[in-house]
Amino acid sequence: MKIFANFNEHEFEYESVFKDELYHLLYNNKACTYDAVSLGGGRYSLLKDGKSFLIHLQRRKETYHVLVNGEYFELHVEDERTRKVRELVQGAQSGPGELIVRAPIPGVVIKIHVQEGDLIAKGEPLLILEAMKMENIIKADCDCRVEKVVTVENEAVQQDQELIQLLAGTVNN
Amino acid sequence: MFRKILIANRGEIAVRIMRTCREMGIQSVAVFSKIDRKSPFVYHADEAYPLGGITSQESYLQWNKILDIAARCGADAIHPGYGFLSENAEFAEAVEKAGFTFIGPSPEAIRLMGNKTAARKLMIAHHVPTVPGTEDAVRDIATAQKIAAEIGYPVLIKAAAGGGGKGMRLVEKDEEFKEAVEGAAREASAAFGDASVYIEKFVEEPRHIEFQILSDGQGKTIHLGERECSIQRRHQKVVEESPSALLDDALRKAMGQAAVRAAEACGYKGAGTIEFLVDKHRKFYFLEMNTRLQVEHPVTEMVTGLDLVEEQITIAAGHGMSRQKNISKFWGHAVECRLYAENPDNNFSPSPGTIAFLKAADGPGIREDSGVTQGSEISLYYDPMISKLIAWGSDRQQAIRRMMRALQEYEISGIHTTIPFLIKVMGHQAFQQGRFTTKFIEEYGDDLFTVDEATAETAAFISAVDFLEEKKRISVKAPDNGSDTAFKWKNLHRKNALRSR
Repeated sequence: MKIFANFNEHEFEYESVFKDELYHLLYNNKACTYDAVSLGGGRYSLLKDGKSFLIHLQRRKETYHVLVNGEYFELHVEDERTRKVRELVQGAQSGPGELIVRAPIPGVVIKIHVQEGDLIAKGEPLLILEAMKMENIIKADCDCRVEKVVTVENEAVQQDQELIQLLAGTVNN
Repeated sequence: MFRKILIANRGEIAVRIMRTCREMGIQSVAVFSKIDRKSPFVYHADEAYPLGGITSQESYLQWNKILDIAARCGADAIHPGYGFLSENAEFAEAVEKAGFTFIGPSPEAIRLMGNKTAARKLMIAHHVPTVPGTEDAVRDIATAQKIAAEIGYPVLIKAAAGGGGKGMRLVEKDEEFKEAVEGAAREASAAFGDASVYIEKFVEEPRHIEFQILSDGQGKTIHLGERECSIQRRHQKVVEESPSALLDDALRKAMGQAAVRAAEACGYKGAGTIEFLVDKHRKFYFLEMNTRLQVEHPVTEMVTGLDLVEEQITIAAGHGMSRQKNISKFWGHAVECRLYAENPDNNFSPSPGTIAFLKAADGPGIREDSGVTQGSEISLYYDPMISKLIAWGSDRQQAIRRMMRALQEYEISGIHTTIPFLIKVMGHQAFQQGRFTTKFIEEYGDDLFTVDEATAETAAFISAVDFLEEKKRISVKAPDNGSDTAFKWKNLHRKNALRSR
């Protein structure tokens, strides 16, 4: 079975093989010897082809947060089957539709620029989120209409909290 | 000497001040906001009292509450740290009026140096070089052009009412002046309704180099050498070091003397910092004075062997300072990296959250001034700087190598930090060779945000391994629970089938 690990635009493809009662991971058709042991608290000691790594790993659904050699990576991992299912579902859902604007970071909504029913062009500011003395302007990803403003000014919001509902592709009518 | 000091601050600097207090046998008092109840600076203090509130406005800036607490707990002095109330002349005044000692300069000195125009005039009067330019706004183009020629090109035109880069123009030659000044005035009057402009010399290839000074308040002022703070992002320092790779003895002497003159000019007392810009012709210009302890003070401590907080306290108590002469020789070299809870890959956006795991770096030559611990919650209400890592070496090269090693060793998870970015700065050739300006990050951005392919593959590999392990865990579990339930269902179904017959 194939396993895909995506980091930014880059994809790493692994092949997992079950042989001699053990799973093996092949990269570029080459198997490597490895030993990964958990040290607890999301820390792992990985020995891979003789090289030693200390790794911090956190998994949230299919997303992996990995710290290794002082570098941070956010990777998306899926196997062949999941990828096929996802592609089928995505294909069926294409076209204009509802978009939900979520808070990219926890913060306080200090200003809302739009009202329900407003027609917004791509790149126009929707609201300002303040975190750690910095103002972050949240802009529209595409031309759209504001369906519903879920948040209010001065509200403290969590990461991924829903802020605004948009209907895409409704400006040029 | 003081018996008890209240620290009107939070985070790493509060811990830093407490450490010296404890070493000197002085009791320390912390004040804290609702959010900071579990912070190290609260439990490291001898006494701690709640300020209530969450935002800085509701807590650390509530000086009446702070003075009340100081009175109730019987403190003799208040240390403001940096930021918050540290450069607030009215607070310093209120502290003295309430009968406590303010550990810092007089309110007059704070006020004077806090006013950019007044400070600039004072510096000119005391022969401290400032960036040449007009002191007042100019409305007439011909006059402005004459001034620009006197100052010498390149010059910067700044709208008097400007801000955020609006109404600002860089002019290289006399021929370009008229058009540029008209453009700047137009932009400024459209944005701010005021067309007058300032003319200022454009400092080419600027480096930010500052001098630490100490004044005993009884007529003696000395300098403790420089700190180079050119590596900045969004005009905020991220890496500092002492000494600077740029200065030689002659320039150090000239800048040091100017720094001492600047401090004397405002009747300074305590520890302060004179910030300069140095251009590519090695000319230096006064930028501003910070009338408090600097974030980056540890690098000076490492190469001078002094404890600047202790000096502040003894000066405030009227016992003077531990040395009377300028520093002319440093002991080795020190580098400081500021660790921010920010994501460098996402334009240094703040990264609040809980520190899931923390194991700080140590080993030869490493010092850490931290304000957090494992389990600490990094809130979005205060500055995102969580810690400062300082490396000392017998020379610059060794200090950088040690810093690099310590950053790689540093384990922190749960939040993003600037560590990956700092490692790339330490490893960059231009930084290692000491060839950089305040534009370092803009200039070398591409090198500083690239990822090593082999390391990325290792990250992908361990993720794939974990993904597979997780699959195995699920597939091993499923038959165990599943078969049992399926069996029951089957039975029930059969019974139902029998009944229905």
